[in-house]
Amino acid sequence: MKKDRSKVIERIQARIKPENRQFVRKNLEISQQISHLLEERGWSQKDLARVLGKQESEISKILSGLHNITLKTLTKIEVVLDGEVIITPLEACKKYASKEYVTFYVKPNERLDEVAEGSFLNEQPVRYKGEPDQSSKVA
Amino acid sequence: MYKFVTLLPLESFQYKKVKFYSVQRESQDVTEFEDFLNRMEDIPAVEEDLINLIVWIKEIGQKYGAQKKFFRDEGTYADASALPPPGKTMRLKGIEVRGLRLYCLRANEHVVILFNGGLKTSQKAQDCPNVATYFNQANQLAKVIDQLFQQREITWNESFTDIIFDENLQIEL
Repeated sequence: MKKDRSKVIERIQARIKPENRQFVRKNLEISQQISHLLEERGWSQKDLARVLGKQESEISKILSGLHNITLKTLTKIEVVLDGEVIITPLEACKKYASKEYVTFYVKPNERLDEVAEGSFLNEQPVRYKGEPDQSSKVA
Repeated sequence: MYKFVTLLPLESFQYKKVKFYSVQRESQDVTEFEDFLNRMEDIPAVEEDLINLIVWIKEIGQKYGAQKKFFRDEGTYADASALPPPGKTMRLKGIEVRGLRLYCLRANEHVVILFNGGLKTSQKAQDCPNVATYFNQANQLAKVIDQLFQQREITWNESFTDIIFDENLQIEL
């Protein structure tokens, strides 16, 4: 039977398996994370290629989001960039569950006008009504 | 040799972050992108790559946008020394899935025009019997479409997230 050429997108879409979605999603997440680490360190793709002893085109492939990167290459990237690219949920729980969250309450500074005039800068910290003396405490 | 192509939105690939387009030759029943899919869909060696490519298009369309890093630079047009400074001119790009090459024009982070491609078997696209024709065609298309942007035959919407053009626009090659 002759194929309907105009229905090719639907035919291919019907063949998508969950593992295809997962592969591409993870791949793109890895690409984003590597880019983030590069940006944080002020490195270009060229710098990463040089340090890894690879061609720049290989780094482009890795960042394309369609490349089947090996764990070995991924590990090397993590080492040279001194940061994690992937983390398992178990490790993520260990790492982030122990984070301590601190709440800061913010009050409006009623003397803001005086700051603008410059008469406030050398004074003692403002203490609001009912607020205990915090001056001896370290933030 | 065909002379005119029409620019068409790919209805299945209109996403929040990226709108995908393709071109259709006069006398052809499908766009160049659909022709690429039709030619590749029955090659068992690339089936998985083709499916991943479709997923990738959807993911970047919905979530990431067409960031530069997702595409590879291609093309003789890109290498021409007489080009205006970088950033002023759109260059031919390629989407690479192992041996598969799909040529395209990334107009910006929100608009990508998909052309044709194939299974690349030589180092240089020009030397590969499978992709040389599509590579040359894509180069030519990239050049002409870029000129249409400069001549304001194709313009941007206010937010630069989509393109505007006459639906009867015939692109002459």
